[in-house]
Amino acid sequence: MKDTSRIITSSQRGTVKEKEYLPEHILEAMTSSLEGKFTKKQIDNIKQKTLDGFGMSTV
Amino acid sequence: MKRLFVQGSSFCDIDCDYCFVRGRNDKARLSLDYLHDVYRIINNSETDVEIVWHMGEPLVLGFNFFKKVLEYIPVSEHIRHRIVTNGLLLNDDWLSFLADNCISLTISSDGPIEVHDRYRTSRKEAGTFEVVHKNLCRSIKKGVCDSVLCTITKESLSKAAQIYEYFSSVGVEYLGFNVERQLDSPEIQVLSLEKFDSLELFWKDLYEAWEKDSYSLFIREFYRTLSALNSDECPLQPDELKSNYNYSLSKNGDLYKYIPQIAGSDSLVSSPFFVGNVKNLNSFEETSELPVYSEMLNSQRLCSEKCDFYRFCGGAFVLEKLVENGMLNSTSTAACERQVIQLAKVVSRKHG
Ligand code: SF4
Repeated sequence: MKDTSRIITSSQRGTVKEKEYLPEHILEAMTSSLEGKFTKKQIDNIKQKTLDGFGMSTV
Repeated sequence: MKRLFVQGSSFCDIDCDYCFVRGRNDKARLSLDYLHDVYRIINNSETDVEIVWHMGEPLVLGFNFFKKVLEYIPVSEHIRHRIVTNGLLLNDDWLSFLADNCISLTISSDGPIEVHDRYRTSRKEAGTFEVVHKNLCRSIKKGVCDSVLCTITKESLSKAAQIYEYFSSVGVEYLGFNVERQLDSPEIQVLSLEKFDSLELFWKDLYEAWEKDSYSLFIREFYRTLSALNSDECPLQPDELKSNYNYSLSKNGDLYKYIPQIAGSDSLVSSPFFVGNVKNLNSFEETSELPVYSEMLNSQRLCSEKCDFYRFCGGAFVLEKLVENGMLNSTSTAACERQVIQLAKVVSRKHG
């Protein structure tokens, strides 16, 4: 079951139109897909590892 | 935190055309004596270590080997193990063993059968999709596999939506895309992408499939690119450029620094990264920075001055610069173009 709770719903769009597609929202949406499977600490680690691991395309 | 990549054997039970590992037919394995030395080095060091079994197929080493590994280097608060595997040998016994011992799994899959079976084949050119698919689903269900790596080949270019759909349907949690790239000579690796093949359309189709799916999958490349787009400064810190972070152990006990793949790659390119044999070392910290490290930092500086896409990368691709350009002090590799620049252009256009 996909968790779309953090995606802006169509009823909210009128008020935050210009922010609708700002990456921040998407970053939150993709992170929310990890919730329920990982703890908050693990998710923070995953995010940090993703930003750190650029040269290392092996993991 | 440090990361130690270990080549238990360079042997692999399959023979993917694009693989960079040398000696894929060579069944020689890492002597367990070296693990004793590795444990001594870890214990004398100051930080946590993630040991990543890679560069050859680790599971061909067998159960008993990994039972011994855990006797020599037990999982603890400070030590974790990860196995990067082609997924073929993952039966129930393996999955229980990995789960019981908290060993994480990264599985290589190129997506749906028509893409996966194009290059991920046995020595007799037979496809491996059916088995890998079954094992990938079981590993995810069991909570053992937390990440999947997908290599982008020529076969993938027009099939981004199908690839997205496939990984979404099997329930992958974390997905990374590696564009096929030259890390060794053409005798070792045969690449399908040609010089002028562009990935822009692939990234665009993938992004649109992801967008349509409410950004539900955690895709490493999009996370990095969007984070960069969202930051004033470059948020990426390539770990190969971090001081004393990545180490890499070849099956003969030789330890290398900085670039994970180096222990399984070309010995001519790898020599500047050679630290010593683990038998003669006491701790990670005693190994001072190698002369090549200042060249790597100079190369990163050059990137920050010359490359308009530095923010999306951080000046990585050390091995690619060496193999493709023949020198570190350079920019612009095929990997830069395909893995960073074309991707950044697509994502920026979406948010421009
Ligand atoms: S894309 Fe290439 S040239 Fe640009 S910063 Fe990264 S490594 Fe340097």
